[in-house]
Formats: sequence, C-alpha cells, structure tokens
Amino acid sequence: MIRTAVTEDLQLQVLRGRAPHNADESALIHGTVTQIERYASGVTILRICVEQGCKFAYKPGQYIEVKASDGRFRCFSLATSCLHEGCIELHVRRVADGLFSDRTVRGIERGDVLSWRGPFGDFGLHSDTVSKCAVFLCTGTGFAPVRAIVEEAFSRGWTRPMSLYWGGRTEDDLYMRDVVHSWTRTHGNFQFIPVLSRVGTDADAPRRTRVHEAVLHDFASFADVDVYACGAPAMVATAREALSSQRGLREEAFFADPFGATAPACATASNNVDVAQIKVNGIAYAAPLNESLLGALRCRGVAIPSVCGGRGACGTCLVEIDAASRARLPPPSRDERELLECLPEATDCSRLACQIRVDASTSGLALSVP
Amino acid sequence: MSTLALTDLERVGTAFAADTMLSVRDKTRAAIHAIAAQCRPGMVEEDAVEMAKGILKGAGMRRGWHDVYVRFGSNTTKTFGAPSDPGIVLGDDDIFLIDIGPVWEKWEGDGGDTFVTGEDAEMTRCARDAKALFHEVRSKWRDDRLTGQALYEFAERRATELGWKLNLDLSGHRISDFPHAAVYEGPLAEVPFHPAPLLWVLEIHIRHPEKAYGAFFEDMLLGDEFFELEI
Repeated sequence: MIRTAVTEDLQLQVLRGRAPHNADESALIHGTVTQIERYASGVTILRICVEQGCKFAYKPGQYIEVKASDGRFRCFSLATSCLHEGCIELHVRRVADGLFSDRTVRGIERGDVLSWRGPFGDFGLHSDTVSKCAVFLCTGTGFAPVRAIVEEAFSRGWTRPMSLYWGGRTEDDLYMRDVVHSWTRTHGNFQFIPVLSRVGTDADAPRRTRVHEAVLHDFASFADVDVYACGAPAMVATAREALSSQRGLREEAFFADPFGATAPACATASNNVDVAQIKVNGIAYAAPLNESLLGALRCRGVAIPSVCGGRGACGTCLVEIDAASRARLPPPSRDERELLECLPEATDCSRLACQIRVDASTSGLALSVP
Repeated sequence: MSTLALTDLERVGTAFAADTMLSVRDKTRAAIHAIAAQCRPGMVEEDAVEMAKGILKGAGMRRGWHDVYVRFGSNTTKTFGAPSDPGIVLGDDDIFLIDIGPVWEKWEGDGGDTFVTGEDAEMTRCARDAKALFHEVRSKWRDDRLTGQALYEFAERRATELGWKLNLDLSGHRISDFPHAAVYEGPLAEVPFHPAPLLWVLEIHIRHPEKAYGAFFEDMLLGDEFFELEI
C-alpha cells in the first residue's frame, strides 16, 4: 500500500483497528461487585457497579482487562450491550487453578471491589455491510460479547435474519440458554441453534456436533452472510477456514474475537510490550509472549493443526522458518530433532510450533504454515 | 431440524487398511510389554518415559498421536494429559501403568496396561480388575451390541461393584489412519450406537476410592479371536 500514489482526495478506513472509547483507556476503573451467579458449568456471572466518579462507556463486543491479585490483567468481554443500572456484566469460566477465574472468583463476595482498564477491541456489530443475514458462532463464554452484540442489533431494530449457534459439551455449558430462547419468542427474525458435542439419540434435541459442522450443514452458501465468531481459538479458526473454503464466506464478512484461557492473548491487543511481532505467510501477527508459538498463533486465529495437544509428539504443527529467522531460535531439543527426522514432510527449515516459546527474542520471526 | 449422520463418526481415511491397523496394534502391545519389562524398582518415572520413547523409536514409532505416558505409584491416578508429579520413584511393592499412542507410518496404534512390582494384594487386584473389566465390557459390546454410552454406564456400575472408581475422562475414542481426530475427537462413552470393530479403542481407568493409586487398560474393540493370548 505504501507504493500507492495518491492523486486525489482519499478516504481511508482502518479495518480491525483498536477502538479506544474512554479518554484514557489505560486508567483504572473501579467497581463494586453487586451480584454473583454461579452455574453448574463452572461459569460465574458477575455484575459490577461502576464506582461513582469513574466514567466508563463501551461498545457492544468490546472487552476489558480486569486486574488480578498478581497485578496481571485478565481479559473479559462485556456481556451486555450497555451499562445496566450503572453495572457491567462479566461471564467468567472457571479454569482449574486459574488465578482469577478459579481462586479469585471462587472466593469473591458482594461488595468486593474490582479494578479494570479498557475497553478494548473492535469486535462489534456491523450494520453497514451488504450481507442479507448474520450468523453468530460462539462456544462457552464466547457467548458474552455475542449477547451484547445481538442485544445491540435488537435495539437498533435489525430485521435481517439472525442465527445464533452456541456450542458446548452439554446443555449446562449453554448457561444462559433461557435468555436466548426468550429472544426467539420476541424476535421473529432470530433463531437459536444449540450445538452440543455430546452425542445423543434424540433427533429433536439440540444438534450433536461441533459449531462449524452444524453451520456447514445448514447453509449452502455464505456469500450473503456476515459471521460473528467468538470463543475457543480453534473453533474460530476452523469456522473461518471451513466457511471460506467450502461456503464462499467473504473475508470482510468474518468478524471474530478468539480468546484463550488466560490473559496474554488479550494483553496482546492492548499492550505492545507483551507481544512479539511474528509474520506468518506474509501476514504480521501480534503474538502473546510466554506461550508456545502454536498457542500464540492460534490465539490470533492462525489455523495450525495439532493432534497431541502441543506435547511435541504428533508432528502436525510443522512450520517452516524463514532462513533469515532461523538464527533467532534456540536449536531444537533432542526429542524435537528426532521427531523432525522421522517426518517425511519436514525440511531443514522445519520446526514444531508447539516447541518454540514466544519471547522478546522471537519478535520479527517470519515463517510459513504449509 | 435434522442431525448429522452418526455414521460419519465411523469414517476412515484413504489410507485405512484393516490388516495394517491390526499389525500396528500388535506392535503397540509388544512395545507396552517391552517398556514394562524395563521398568525396575528404584527407577525415576521421567527416566522410564525416556526409556519408553527409545523403545518406540527403535520400533519405528517415534511419532505419536498423543504423548508417551509411563506413570509410577500415585501418578497412576492422573487422568489423560495431566502432568505427572515429578520425581516419583518406582517402589518395591508398587504399581505402574503405560499408555502409548504411537503412529506407525500412516496408522495409529493405542494401548495401555498396568503392572505391579511386588506382592501388594490390593494393587495386584487393581491391575487385574482393570484388564478384567475391559474384557467384561468388551463382552457386553460383543454379545449385547450395546451403544458406547451403555458400555460406559455398565463399566461404571461394575467398577463400583468391584470397589473402584471409574475415571470417565478416559472413556474410549476413535482410532484410524492418522489422524482420527479429523473424523471424531469425542469419547466413545458419548456414542449412541453400537460401535464397529477395529475403529474404536476401549479405555478402562479405575482408581482406588481412597488410596492414591489406580490402574489402566486400553485396547481396540475386537472379537475374542484377537485376545487369545491376552485373556
């Protein structure tokens, strides 16, 4: 683009940029916990009243970074389209031994004060697209920003058809399904498709499969559809790839907010100190530090396969490191080297993405994913 | 609203070949017993894992669709994927399990077994019951044509009757030409139909209700003719 010669007035729109909303998004906002709802699925819903004197506003779909007791920030999407009676709402999925999601939230009580910064992110409703309908895909607490966006669509009087596919393991994982069912009764243009991965026999019960498979099954084409996806990075990446390659989804019609279980994925969006710039197939990504290259890039929506869960056993997360970048990386361990030696598709430039740790020294790394 | 065809869960890839799957199964079982034979009291678990990897590499199975697990003593209670407590040394009267998922060329193997080092009667019974329960559940699969769900309901009930707790996080899965995950990653315990032979593995992981040990047995769902040497 920098080679483009401008010969007349030009209006630029920066896509997917951050959208600061408050005057100083790095300043801490404080709020008091007023309501705690715990669900069987391990999700806790917190309603937090913004402290008087703090100015806080956001757009539906954005997230905040909540300060944990270790001083680090954990990211949570705001789950309502706007402040309700001065309160924000967060959906926190318990992660075993997670400092905030488990140890902090388990002991949290009404009256406790939490601090956060933000809002951040550009995930949100797009009313100005040419698409005729919208499909929302989410898993687990990926429902939180989707709920905010759908509520915003309702409040704007959207008439285009909307379908929400919410995936979970069991019905308990769809912790606010009653709310969503109520939308189907009050909005004729909205339908809800629960997608449960536990397989069952009842054909009338919720769909038993994975989110992207259910959507592929229901739609012959995505040429006229906007897709909003939020949840597990693997779901987001798989849906994007499958809907693009098999159903003609346009790149500009896919809006996503993949997230991981811990803060770094989100911290990358807001704090350049915590990220390494890594170029994959020519596209630069801000990868969170202190994660494996596999996990970091998946957090950014890069589809890299892995069968063994990043344990250096299966060899499916093979990436090709550019020759100029190879010296930046420490040499492979004996285990990695031996596995690479037995992979017929591996070259001298191959590495396992799960065995490379992203740190400051990896910034500038360039690689390709076959 | 229609559902996806459940038969999709039993798809195989283009490289699938029954004879080769059985051959890889044989290699897998042989590797398990070779690894077990090298485990000695006094050995640290981490060294046993390295030893196991060496044996698998020597058998042409350096690649695995999951990691190599050799777990000693209290680590035998750990579920699949959970990191072991470090530095556990195999005792004289102890129990250990092996769980490997090697890939030989384009085909997956998967198997597990449990062994004891001494005379502890309860540990011996635990290891024996894991294998016996595997075959008991397999018999229900063979004779009663139970679904995957019903198999594990039966397994859980029987494990309780035997005085153990069944770990349902390890509840069977597909196996195929590599990778089966491209077809179906979910557990056998959630499958609402009678699973076909050669396409699934049955896993039985039982734990002592109070003490810190357990036992594991895993193999393919196959007819009796494939188990003559095992039973």
